[in-house]
Amino acid sequence: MEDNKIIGEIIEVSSRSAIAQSYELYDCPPIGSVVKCGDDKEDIYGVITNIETRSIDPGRRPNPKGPGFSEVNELYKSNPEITHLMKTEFNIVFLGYKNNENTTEISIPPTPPRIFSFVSTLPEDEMINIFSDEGLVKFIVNSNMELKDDVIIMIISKYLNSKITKTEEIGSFTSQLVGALPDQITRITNIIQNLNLQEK
Amino acid sequence: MEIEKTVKYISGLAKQLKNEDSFKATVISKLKNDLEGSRNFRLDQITNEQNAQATYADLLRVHDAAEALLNNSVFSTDGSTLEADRDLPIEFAAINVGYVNINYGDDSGAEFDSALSFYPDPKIQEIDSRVLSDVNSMSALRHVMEMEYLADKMEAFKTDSIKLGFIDGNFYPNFALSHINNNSLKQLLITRLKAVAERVVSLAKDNTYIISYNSSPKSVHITSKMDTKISSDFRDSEIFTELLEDNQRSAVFNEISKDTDEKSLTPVSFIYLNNSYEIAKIEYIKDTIDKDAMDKIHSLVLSQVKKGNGYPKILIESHEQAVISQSDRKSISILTERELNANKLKYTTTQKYQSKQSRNI
Repeated sequence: MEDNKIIGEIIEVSSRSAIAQSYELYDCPPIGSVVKCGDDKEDIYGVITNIETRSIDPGRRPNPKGPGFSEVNELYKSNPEITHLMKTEFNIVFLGYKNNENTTEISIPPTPPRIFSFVSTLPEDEMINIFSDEGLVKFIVNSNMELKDDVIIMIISKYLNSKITKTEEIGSFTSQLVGALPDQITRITNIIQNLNLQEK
Repeated sequence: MEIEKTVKYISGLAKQLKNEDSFKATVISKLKNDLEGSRNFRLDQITNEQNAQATYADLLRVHDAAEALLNNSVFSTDGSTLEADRDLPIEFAAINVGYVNINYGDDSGAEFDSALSFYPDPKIQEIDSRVLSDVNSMSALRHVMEMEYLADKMEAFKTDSIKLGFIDGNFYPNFALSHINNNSLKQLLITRLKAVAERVVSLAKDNTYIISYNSSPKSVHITSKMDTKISSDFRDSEIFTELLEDNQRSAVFNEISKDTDEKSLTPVSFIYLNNSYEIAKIEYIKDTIDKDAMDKIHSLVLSQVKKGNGYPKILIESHEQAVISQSDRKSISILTERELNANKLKYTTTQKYQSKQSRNI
């Protein structure tokens, strides 16, 4: 997915999190992706923690279209109305924001983004900036997001895989985890072991 | 409410229906033999595909579906009415027409749209305040608007594939038209129906067809003309359940018009179709669909019915687009109240309405 692409709008928001709907069905970055919410005046960062696709009308549940199809794409082609009748929503937990001095703070934003604020993908330089903050891992660990450890694994893996990773960076994240999760060696080991690092 | 009394009453009706069904089953079991035995019996006021007098022999004629077409475009419109609220100091009605187009095959895709109109409309003098609360007038107007919107969209859509438009129910709103007392409105609607019928005739020359689809119709075009010993209060759908195998369609029939206003409309033909879930009636403007085209339409209708699990998918979706939901209606009521108050027109709903909402003891 290209950088800085507006992918949807916030449709529900509170101090810690938001729900956004993508413009196109399924057009949402994977869980663990960091996105930017807001408009010209504000930059609020969040991580995608959950993705949900369902009927646009709560009173109309989808029925199976088969049997008779050998591929899902074939099923979609035979029922082209599906993409108009379904929607993809995703949950965003806020991680930080740009303050008045234009520096990034890892925290919930002082005021959440407005309803219908755009959600866009993050350019690499902004992603590196957020991940260079040593408070990030601790903030995530202490948040009450769903699937916390899975999100931690995905967010770190995604960041490390987005560029050529130096060994010391993996060490840095391990240290941050040890600091954020004292006396939880098994949990930390599980997170480190599950990091899905691809060779560059 | 006394539930026991209600149960007893419904139970009585069910027993009566069972007796009638048992009698009908006996008659129906002999139907094919009876028709074969009187093949030349004339169905008065009904003609067949060749415009000749229809007989029992035509009832025994059936057609199988052709092979399904890979590339096709289907269209439908459906409407919903927001009736005028007599309790409001401003009286208005709204008609929402929902539209859906689904394209199958190489260029698959879909388009959803709707058009909302409010009445009274200064451009249409015939629709006055009395019309707004008349169910038949609004129903006929809605039907006309559905047909016009469907023709607009189908004329504008360019494709090399066959285009098939679906109207929900009967092709013309005959029942509603015949119950309109306001003659100038009735004449206006008939004029508009004749105009749209001309467009439908013209579209048919370009591989573009419009049909109406009636699910389990209650019509008695055929049975009312049959020998009473055979038909005995059957609906047409009941006899075609016996005469048509799954996925077969009947021959084409035309009913000769009586001399009434609504019968001056461009005549329609009809067929019955056993779609393997139920009998459906399909109507179309006479002579717009020949046998080859009907073979294709037959398979398209079956494919739509299969996709919709018993009812054409395109009609399901256009209905969903048209519906003015309860929450929409409530929002409109709140907005109206707000606008009236904003204009210093003090307004609240009637005490009767408010008491029904609160239901205090």
